[in-house]
Formats: sequence, structure tokens, C-alpha cells
Amino acid sequence: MEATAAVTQNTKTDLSQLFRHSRDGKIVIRAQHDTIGQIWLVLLALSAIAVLGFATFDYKEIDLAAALQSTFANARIVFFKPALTYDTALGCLYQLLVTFCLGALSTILGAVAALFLSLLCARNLSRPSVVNVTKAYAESIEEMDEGTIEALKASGANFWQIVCQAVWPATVSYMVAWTFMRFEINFTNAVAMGAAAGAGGIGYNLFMAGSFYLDLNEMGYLTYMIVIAVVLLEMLSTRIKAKVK
Amino acid sequence: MKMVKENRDMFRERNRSWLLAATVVVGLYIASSVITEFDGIAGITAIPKVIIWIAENLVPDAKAMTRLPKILKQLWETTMLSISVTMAAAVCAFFFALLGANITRVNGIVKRIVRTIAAFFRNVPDVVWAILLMFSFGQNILTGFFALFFTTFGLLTRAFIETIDEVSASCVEALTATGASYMQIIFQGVVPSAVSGLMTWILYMIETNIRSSTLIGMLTATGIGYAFDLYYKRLEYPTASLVVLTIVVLVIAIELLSNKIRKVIL
Amino acid sequence: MPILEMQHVNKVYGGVTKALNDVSFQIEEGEFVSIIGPSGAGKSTLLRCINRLIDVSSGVILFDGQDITHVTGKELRSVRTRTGMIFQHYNLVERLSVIENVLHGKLGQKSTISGMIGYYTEQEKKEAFEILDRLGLADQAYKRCDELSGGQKQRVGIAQAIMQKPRLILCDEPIASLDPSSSKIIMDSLKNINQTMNITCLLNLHQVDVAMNYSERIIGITAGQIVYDGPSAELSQSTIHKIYQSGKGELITDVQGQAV
Repeated sequence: MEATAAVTQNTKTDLSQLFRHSRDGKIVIRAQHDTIGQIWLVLLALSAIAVLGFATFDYKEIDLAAALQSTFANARIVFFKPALTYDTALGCLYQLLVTFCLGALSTILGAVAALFLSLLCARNLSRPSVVNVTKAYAESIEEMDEGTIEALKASGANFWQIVCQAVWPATVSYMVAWTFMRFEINFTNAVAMGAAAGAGGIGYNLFMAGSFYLDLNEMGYLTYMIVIAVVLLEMLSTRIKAKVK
Repeated sequence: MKMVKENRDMFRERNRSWLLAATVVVGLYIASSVITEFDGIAGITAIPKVIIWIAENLVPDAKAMTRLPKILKQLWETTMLSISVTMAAAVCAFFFALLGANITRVNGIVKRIVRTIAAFFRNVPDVVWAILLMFSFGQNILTGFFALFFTTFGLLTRAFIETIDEVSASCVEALTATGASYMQIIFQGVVPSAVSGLMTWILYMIETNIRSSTLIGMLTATGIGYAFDLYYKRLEYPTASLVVLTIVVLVIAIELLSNKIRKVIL
Repeated sequence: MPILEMQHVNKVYGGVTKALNDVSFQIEEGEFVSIIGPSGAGKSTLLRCINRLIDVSSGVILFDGQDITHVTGKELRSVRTRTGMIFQHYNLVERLSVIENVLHGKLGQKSTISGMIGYYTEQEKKEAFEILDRLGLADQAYKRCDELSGGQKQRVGIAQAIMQKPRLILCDEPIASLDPSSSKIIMDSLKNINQTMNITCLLNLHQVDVAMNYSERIIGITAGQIVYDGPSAELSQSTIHKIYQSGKGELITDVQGQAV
């Protein structure tokens, strides 16, 4: 048994038999199944790509120092002198609401579609697999305890009974967390879409203030509105996540 | 007897809170539909029409295919940009995270400052940076670079702080007890423990940045986003849809690749 | 001269909670001493004060004749190098190999740069293998620590401590997470290095019977105060009850006490 081998002094096998040597004859100390070395290789490859990128980008002979300096000056106006000229505070709030609603709509519709598809996808519910659009939900269902499902199957429950009694309660907190994360992302996406594609909402106001009216103060005001909204959303989601758990 | 009653109360309360949650979600859906003038039923019934329209207008034609080399070049630039941004931000974020993490911090004040800076860059949307940078940098790749860099830096700093605190608390204590110095503890304890977690975040950010840089590119007139915007506004829908197709293929390819890397390293 | 001397050591948390209350004792070189007491009595705090992972509020700690209560920087690292520590949850760098973890015991004696990049001399590597062999783990040297069982991990922890060539080893609940057979291996190993290498051992233990079996001397702590300090043979049932502040028949050892 191991107990006898614990404090061996006499059974001195030749230790050097156990050594692994590198090419230059030194004793290796890295693990046999070393993953850290592989991670470094990937990081090295990515860094090489990054360096290649920096070397080949078309910078169009820009004066970096001057551009950074003026950006800094502009940023100071945006963040320290926010003010409204073209929009009203109420109007901005309404546009913020529109953006919020766009985010909510895309999240709700996405979540409903994903929920049903994931039920069909999850393998432990043994249904024909459809498309794997809803990876996150499906994975959370697959992660749940097989035992619960088995017990219900043994008691003769049908598919929807299993879903309602076992799958739903066990995975709902995970799904809520994912959905809220998605909601936060969708909200910022809605801002970006408004700015880049003119899809409406606060993002469009931002685009107009910045690229059309060239009004840094107004940009600052709108930025603060968005930041506050994002922070509130994050606080809300942390709270709900804690509650569902 | 009493316990049964308590149980029933608990169930009733749970049912009630579910009912509340469902009401909130449905209410939110209706309110959002009204405000954004979105008609859900019309949306669903329009799907077949949309498919027909896509089939008629968006299938890349011969003219679109002649533009493919040009599109691929833009796609390449966007990919390179995403990787460069993520790596540059990751290096900065790592050092910031060391100062901001509870177990590797130098002192409490520096920790607070670092976390505040990270929160600031994380919460200001990248489009704000893009518009702001446009003033000084114009239609330059650096506009997109810095816009993405700031948000990526903020996000990664927070993610790295959490990873470091979660993963390496115990081994830091043990290495401190052996008399190791701060830098030795970082490189022999924190880095080996946290590196796979950090790697996962870097891969995730590269994926995210490819999507974001497409959107940002529409604003700053660079990369694949600009290509899409250009063809779309010229009403060359087949070419625009070819751009979208190449982006989709790229995103899926990157995701598959990073999943593979993740599987090997974890 | 005692290897370790605590003089009227106090530790106060947040200005109110007294974790250690006027703790004084001496440990002679080569002793094997167990500290027992209920959870939250201040055992872990006490051990961590000795290698200054925690700073004391008042009092003096003498290690090897040197006042270490307020040493900093290089001097503090030198004190820690001469004191090994073993943890309940092993606290290894799980992703690294067994041999790398053992070699971490040498970090305090190396230059910052060579420690950072993990450069060790061939002599140090051979030494690490010998220590592992002593603990019956030489053939596991190239495994990652997360591939080992709990008992094996704790032996790696011991090997790392031995690698430091310490004068004193502090053990914070070394067997609290282990099964009985692994616990025996660990306790035997500690006793063995105490006797053959003359390394002083100071252990926190939950198991009173283990403490009485292995150590000649026991220190009992309750609410930050020493309530017993003497030979384990003289530790009576009533003293044990005093340490654990419990009535007759409430402790798991009571059953054993009646049986013997």
C-alpha cells in the first residue's frame, strides 16, 4: 500500500532514470501534459499577427501626436462640458427609451425563439436535433442533473411534464443570467446601430450631434445619458440574477 | 401541519413571482412594440415575403463575384484590426488588472483608481469614441483602432481582475509564505494559474471585436463595414449581401477556431 | 535558546474582535507541537502571525533569537524562507508540474529574475527529485498537480516546504481535508522529517486524538487565549472540555475516551 511507500529511505532506486532531458541535456521540469506551453504558443502567434497588423496597416501618414492631442482636447469638452443645444432633455430621454425598447424587443424575441429551439436541441431530452442556434440555452439544459430527468422518466412523465417540472426550475437561473447579459449587449448594439445605420434611438442623436452638428457638448450630454442607462441596467441585472439564484 | 402550510405558502409565493415576471415581460414586449412601432404578427407573416425578396435581390451575382478580391482584402484588414486591438488591449489590461485585483494589488488607493478607470472605459460605448476620434483622425484605421481599444481595454481589465482574484488567491498566499518576491509570485503563481482563463477572454474579445469593427467601420469608413455601407448605399444589393456572407463565414470560422483552441488548452 | 518565542502577542481585527489575546509561549528547536482548539479560536491567525502573513497588533515575536515583529522587505523574505508552511487546501499552483511546485520552495533564495522565469540549477532540480523520492512521489514528478489526489498534493506541499531547508515548519490543518489513510501518511511524513532532519514543527489540528498520538506537547487555545500548554500525556478530558467549551458527552472524543 501507499502507506508503506510514504517515507521511503531505503528503496533508493536510481532517480536519474526518472529524469527527462531536454535537447541541451538539462533536466526538464515542465509537466508532461503541459497546457501552459501551448497557451503561450497561441499567445505568441496572436502577438505575431498583431505586430504584422501594426506593420501593414495603412496609416495614411497621419500625425499621431497632433491627432491624439486634439482628441484629448475634444474628449475634455465631451466629458467635462456636457450641454444640450439641438435636442431637449425630454426628447433625449424618449430616444433613450426607444433604444431600450429596441434592445428589449430583440432580446425577448430572441429568447422566446431560443428557448423553444434549445429544448429541441438539448441532447439529454433525446429529441431530433434541429439547428444549433441556441447554444447557450441548450448547454445549460445539458448541464443539469441527468438524475432528475431519469427519475421523472421512470415515473412515466411525458416530454412537456419533464420540461415543466425538471428542466425549467433547474436551468432558469442560468438562462436569466444569459438573457440579461444578452440584453446588455443588445442595448449597446442598438446604440451602435442607431449611430452607424441610422436605425433610430439615442444612437442616431449621437451620430447627428457628432457628425452633423459637430457639437461636442451635446455629444457629452448624450454620452452621459447612455452611460447612466448602461450602469443602471447592469445594476438591475445583478440584482435580478441574485434574486433568481 | 405547520410545515405543510409553510410549503404551500412558499409555492404560492413562487407562483406569484413567476406570474409577476411573466406580466413584466409581456408588458415590456407590448410597450416596446408600441413605442418602436413594431408589429410582431406582421413581422412573422412577413417572413416568407422577406425570404422571397432575399432570394430575388440578395443572391450574389457575377458582378458581385468580380468584387470578391477587394472585399476579401477589406475583410482581412478587419480581422487584423480585431486581433491587433485585442492583443494591445490585453497587454495593457493585464498590468492594470494586477494593480486592480484584490490579491495582487499594490495598495487600496491604486486599486480604486484602476477599477474606476476600467469602469469608465467599459461603459462609454465604442461609437462615442469612434465619433470623437473621427474629429482628429478622420477616415483612418486608427479611428477604429482606438475606439475598439478603449472599450476592449475596459472590458478585459474587469474580466482579468475577476479571473485573477478567482483563480490564484490560494497559491499567492503559499508563495508569499516561501519568501518569494512580488514579481516571482506574479510569474510563478498568478500567471500559470490564470493564463487559461485570460486566454478564453482574449478569444472572446477577438470574436466580439470582429462584429464591432464592422459596425464601427460603417461610421469611420474603414474596413469591411465601409465596404458594406458603400455597396448598400449604391443599391448594389447582391454585392452588399456578398459582404455580409463573407462576414458570417469569417465569424463562424473564428468561433470554430477559438472553440478548438479552448478545448485544447483547458 | 528557543527557536520561536511569542511574548504577549495580541491581534485585534477592526478595532473590536480580539483574535489573539496576550499569547505567550516558547518552542525549542526540534520540538513537535500541536495547537488544538475550536474553529475560530485564532489558531490560523496565530500561525500566520509567525511568518508575518498577518501583522500582530502588539507584542513581540522572536524567531531564532531575532525580533521579527516588524521586519520588512528582504529581511522579511529571509524569515519566510527559513519557515516552511503547509496549508489545509495545499495551495499549490495546480497548473504546474509537481517538480515545479517543489522547486518553488527555492524562490526566496533566488534572484528575482531567475525566479520569475523559473530558472533552476541542475543541482536544485536533483535535490527536488530527492525530496520527492523521500516522500514517495518521485515517479509523479512530471504530472500536473491537478492530476493528483488530495494526499499526494499535501505531500507535494511538504516537499516544497523541505526544499526551503527551513528551521521551522508551520502546518495549518494539514489533514483536515484528507481521508484517514492519507492523513496517516502525512502525519508520519511530518514526524519523520521532524526526527531525521531536526526541523521544528508547529501544527494546527482539529483531531485531538491525532495531536495526542503524534506530539509530545500540546497548546490549547480558546477565544484567542492559551488555556493549556503542556505535555500531551497530561492533557485530561476536563481540560479538553475546557478548550472546546463543551459539556460532557458533547465531543466525539468522549466516546473514545470511555472505550479506552
